[in-house]
Amino acid sequence: MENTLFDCNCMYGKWNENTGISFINDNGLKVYMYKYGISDVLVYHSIAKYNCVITGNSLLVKELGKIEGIHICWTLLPSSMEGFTDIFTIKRAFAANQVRAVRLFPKLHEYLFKRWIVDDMLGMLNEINMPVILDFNNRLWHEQPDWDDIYSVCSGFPKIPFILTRCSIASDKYLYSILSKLPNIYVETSFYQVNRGIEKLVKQFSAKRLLFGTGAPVFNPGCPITMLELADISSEDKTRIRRLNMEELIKGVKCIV
Amino acid sequence: MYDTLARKISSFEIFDAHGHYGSDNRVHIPYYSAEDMIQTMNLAGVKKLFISSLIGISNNAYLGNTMVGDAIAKYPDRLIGMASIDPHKPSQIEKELKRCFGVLGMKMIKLHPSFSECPMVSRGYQSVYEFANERGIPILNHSWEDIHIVERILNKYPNVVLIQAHSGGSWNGRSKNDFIDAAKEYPNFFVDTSYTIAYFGAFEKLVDYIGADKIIFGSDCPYMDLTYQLGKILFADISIKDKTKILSGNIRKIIEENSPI
Repeated sequence: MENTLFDCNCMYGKWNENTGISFINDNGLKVYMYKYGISDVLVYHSIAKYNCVITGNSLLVKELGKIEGIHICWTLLPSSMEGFTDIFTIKRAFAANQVRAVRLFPKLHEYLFKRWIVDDMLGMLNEINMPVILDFNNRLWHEQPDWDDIYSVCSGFPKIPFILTRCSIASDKYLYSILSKLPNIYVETSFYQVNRGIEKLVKQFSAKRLLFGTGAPVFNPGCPITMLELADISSEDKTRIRRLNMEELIKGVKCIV
Repeated sequence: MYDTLARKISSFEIFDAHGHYGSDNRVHIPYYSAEDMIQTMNLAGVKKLFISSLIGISNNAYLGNTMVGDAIAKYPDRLIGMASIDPHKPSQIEKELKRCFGVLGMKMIKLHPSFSECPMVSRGYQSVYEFANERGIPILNHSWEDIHIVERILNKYPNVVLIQAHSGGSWNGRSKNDFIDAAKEYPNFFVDTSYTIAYFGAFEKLVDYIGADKIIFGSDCPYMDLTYQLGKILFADISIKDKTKILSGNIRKIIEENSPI
């Protein structure tokens, strides 16, 4: 089990761009997982990303809830939190639907990642240590999110593990600083292709700060798998990145029943 | 998974036809000395790496080529040099290329019209094509200029083998890509596999569309991680025969037509 992977960055649901590869049922997802040695996957729904968070989250639970190795990640939006007026409601909803992490798309969903906008939502997630995946939808290596906003928001919610996706070869100037200043920041590896950058990050910050992810089915999982597996780091460190770190973050969530 | 990957790697001879030497302030390159490059190659199971200087392709060709010359002299069995030129100084190009191929022992030319801010049709580049055409030297070219310009060069200099870096931009497997179309059409035009964005399934579509004979493995290392770039080929749903061509067969054939690797 320690050699299998926990993919913390995977999208479920129909998606038409590029080659059009989509996971549209649990069997398709399982076939993908088997081929790439992935035993666990944290999934969000394409409809939650591209259309409507409430519909997408609901479909995700309906189609993939309670399947071994498949973990639910809800997409949240500051303007769609009407149902979650207090921490008790949100805890109940997360527990009932076995939500293991939350994903935010500030850029795609057209809102600024500012304290005054996400305060209420993140305040509740902070109380239950819920991991939050930040996806700024950057495609190109030189596209960077507003790191000032990331620093400002993430420093305000120290019990939330913030997982940064799509960190690129141009991210390290920001990444090294934010990792050294904020212990609740984690790096997801799908787009992190700094040459032997995993080794360097592990040396500087320990393997605890990295989480394996693929970005499938949009991006090719073979790339981050090969980079992690061939990295010049210890097998213990690889196990941490492969799965242990994500498992520990999930275990740390207070509403899981 | 490590064992599976190690087996995959050891079953191929891997040549990386698109590497660099040195660093670039815009990105983070933690390991870039000649020794670092050899260690990187060893981790990825890469037998030979073609390198051009990052200083050479953007700023100072003479200095960059000298640095590459030193590196390949130190590791002649592992590193293969690619010459850089300054297209803004046409009068110096032939002399510098003669030094690169006659004295420093390089095997290929790397052009970067984008970094050099100089169009491919400039006088400086014309003299490079002429030099390469007379000697059958391949050129790795990083430019996204109009495909008609590339086609004119291919037609005018039939002995030049032109390799389009990054396949002209990370292909998503669906959109029209003039460079990929041209690779299908011109026998002396190839594409390399170094993509910053690796779309799922796009590589298999590329092989299906233009054939493995026209694709050359390149990583752009140390700009990008060599193993990351290798992953899309190792895991690809294509035949072992096609992987063998892409990972070393094609570039070996191109180079050996000029001089043995």
